[in-house]
Amino acid sequence: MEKSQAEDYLTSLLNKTLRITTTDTRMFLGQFKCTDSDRNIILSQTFEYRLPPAPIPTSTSPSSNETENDKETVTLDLTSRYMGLVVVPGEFISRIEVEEFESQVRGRAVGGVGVGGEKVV
Amino acid sequence: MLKYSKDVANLVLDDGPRNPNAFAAYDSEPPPPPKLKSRGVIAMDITEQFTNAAQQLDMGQLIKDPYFTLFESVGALEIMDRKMDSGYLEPGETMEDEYDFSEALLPEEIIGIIDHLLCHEMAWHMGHPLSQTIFTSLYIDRLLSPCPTSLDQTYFDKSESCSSDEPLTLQILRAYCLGLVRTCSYVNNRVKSEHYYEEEDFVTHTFNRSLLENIDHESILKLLEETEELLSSTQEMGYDLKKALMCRLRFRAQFLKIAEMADARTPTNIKDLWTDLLAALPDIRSSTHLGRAVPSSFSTKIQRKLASTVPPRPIVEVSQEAAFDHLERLCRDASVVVEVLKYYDSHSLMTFVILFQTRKPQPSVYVRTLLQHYLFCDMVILGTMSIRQVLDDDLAATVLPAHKLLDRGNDEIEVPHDPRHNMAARMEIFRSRAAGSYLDILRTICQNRCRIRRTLCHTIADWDNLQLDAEELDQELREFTREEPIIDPEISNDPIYSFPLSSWAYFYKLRQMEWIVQLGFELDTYQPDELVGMYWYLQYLAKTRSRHLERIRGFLVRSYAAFRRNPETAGQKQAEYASALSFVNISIMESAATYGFADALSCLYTVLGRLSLIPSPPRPYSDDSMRYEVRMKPFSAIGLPELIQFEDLTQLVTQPNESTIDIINFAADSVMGAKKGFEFLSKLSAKEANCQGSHDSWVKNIKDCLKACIFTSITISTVKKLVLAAGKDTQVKAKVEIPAAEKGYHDWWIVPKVIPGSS
Repeated sequence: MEKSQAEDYLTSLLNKTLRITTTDTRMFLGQFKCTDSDRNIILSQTFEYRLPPAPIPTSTSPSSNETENDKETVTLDLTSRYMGLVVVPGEFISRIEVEEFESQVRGRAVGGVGVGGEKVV
Repeated sequence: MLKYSKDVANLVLDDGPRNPNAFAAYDSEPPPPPKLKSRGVIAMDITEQFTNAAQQLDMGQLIKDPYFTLFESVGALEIMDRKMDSGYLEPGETMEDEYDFSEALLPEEIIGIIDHLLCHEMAWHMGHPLSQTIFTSLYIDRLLSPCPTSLDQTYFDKSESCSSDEPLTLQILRAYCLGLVRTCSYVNNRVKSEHYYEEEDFVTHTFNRSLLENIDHESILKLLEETEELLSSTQEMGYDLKKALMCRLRFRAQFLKIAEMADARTPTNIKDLWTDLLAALPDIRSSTHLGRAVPSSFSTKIQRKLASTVPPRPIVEVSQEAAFDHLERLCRDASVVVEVLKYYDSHSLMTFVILFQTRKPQPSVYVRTLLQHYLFCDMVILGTMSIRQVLDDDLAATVLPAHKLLDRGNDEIEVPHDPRHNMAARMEIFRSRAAGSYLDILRTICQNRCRIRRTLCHTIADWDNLQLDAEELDQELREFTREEPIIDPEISNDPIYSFPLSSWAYFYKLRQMEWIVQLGFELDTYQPDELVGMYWYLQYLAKTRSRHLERIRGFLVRSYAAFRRNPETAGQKQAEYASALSFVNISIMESAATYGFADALSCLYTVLGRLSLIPSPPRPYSDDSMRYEVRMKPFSAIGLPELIQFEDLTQLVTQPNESTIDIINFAADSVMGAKKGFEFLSKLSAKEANCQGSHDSWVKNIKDCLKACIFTSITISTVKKLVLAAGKDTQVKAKVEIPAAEKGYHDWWIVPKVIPGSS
């Protein structure tokens, strides 16, 4: 990826809702405000989500290592907590997700550009 | 009336917003949590793309939202940093405390937990957040999360069928905790609805937890009472333990009842209830030794579950001694503050509020917000009076006794040419302009001491404008009142008018300016070498007020004479003249004592300065005139009285043409005069001194001034001896101690202690 492309890509993500999973398995959901070369990420209006301590009482869902869908079912049961403005140091980030509208993603796929396209570069 | 409500609702006491963002570490209301799964939104994994892209960036290069500033980012919590991230777990640490809620506790342990909770409750009253106090209790956490909707959901042991066999000790603790949280909810709501400073005075933030607002008050009270009965019939407990637990349950029920009722402004037995609560405390206090602490039932880990934008913070530990002291004071203050509801006259009301706030230590935030509630709730003063009524009372009792301007009959006149119609219209303009400023004084005095001074520094500018506006109205009103001016060529060639409304405004402006200086002494604002100038300024302000009051008195006496000559008006309104004249006379006396004392102290400091006994701290970055400019900033914009220029003040204070012995002699005379003044004032009745409802505090205050006065005269004679002994030599052997404000006899009079012989 060219440097200018990289900058454009990161800029295009600004103010989108990111879900950042940290190495301790917590997830932070907030608006993307800032990043740097170390992948430190600042999120605003952030909520913290934490896996409940195992075993999960009164839950029939299987463990979270199964399919994507099952994992989300479990996540819904989590209690969230508002934390406001946070900075997640790059070294502790294990996963970054961006929330998109399904319609937009579909539109992009038709046009042939977007996240998937950049992967090839 | 509506107009007032709007005006007063818009009152701004401070220069900044109520919750300035820079201090909003606790966001009051977090946004609702987003749904993790909603239709049409998908989360796409971009870990790899993001990482690759970020690696392309140069060292130190930022990709950021242009509206997001680095200044803001300083406030961000760093995730995975144990000092910042309240959710961070040490390796191997668990999220939850492993605490067995089903385990029955010993009665001693219940006492221990209850007393610990009381310490936390008082710590909260003292200004610490719930997250570091009550919310650190695992039992409280268990009650509040998840939020219960009925008493059945409040059992600590959440396993099924626990309700029937809940151990008695746990029921006691549960009932107590429910009562505690509900009491806190009343207190929190009261504080939140009045003017206070979040985090400075008090933290109302509940971290997104409900304080049992949806559980019926009566049912909690009933549970407390039933538990007490159950306890009294049990045979399983020793007498002392039983008694100790009973008095705690009763106390909690009483406190809960009071917190619910305290808002009422109608005559109730609330004063007795506070006194009863106070009487219940010794029993609890004397049985604290029976308790056994259960430290494992408190944990900072609960902060991980609280909505909080601040780093994790330690549990606040307040000693039992301090907690009981605070609670006792709270009960005592609250039982006194209720007396404000008995209205005598506007001056007595203001005296009450001022003196109540000078109680030592200052009444706690809850009591102060109760006072505000009693005073201002729904814009009905003390629950019975309109703002107009109080304002008119005050005008009548200061400048306009029995005056046609305040005749309510004027409101009925609709003929536009009728002077009465015009008087009513202009008085209405004046009231809408002045009511807010007048009530602001009362509201301001209800704040913490530092804020009072700070706010007054802003409001005097408003009063300066009010005075000017009132002057215009005074001139317009002359046409309708047909006021006869005083013509006295000895004073002035121009006719002299009374200017009642602007006189009133000027009087209050001067009082507030004096308070600013006096609070400066109280708050240790001034350095030792500044005292000479500040006491000079105080006497200057007090003397100006005294002269102004004499002017008011001149007009009062004149109109009183005319009033008595008129057989139609004489009689019932006589009392209004009597009280206005009495107020003005006593105020003249009081201001004379103030300026006499201030003058004496200023002179004493001048002499001590000449003897090089006042240390001045090193100030490499400022000079005297710059410092003076900053110090006097609140007064620099005031038109009248004009600010004394620094050079002039230096002359006035150092008195280069006077000999040291003359200055010290003058100080001695001046302080004697002030002493006589205070002695006279201390003998006045409540009615004469306009302190009905707070006479005891008033007398105490005057007596404290008197003591400070006597102490000053002793110091002056000591210094006089030193000066005489030294002769022409300016060097004397002596040491001066300047006590901190709260160490003296009176906070507003900083009297130096001179110890001869040492150096």
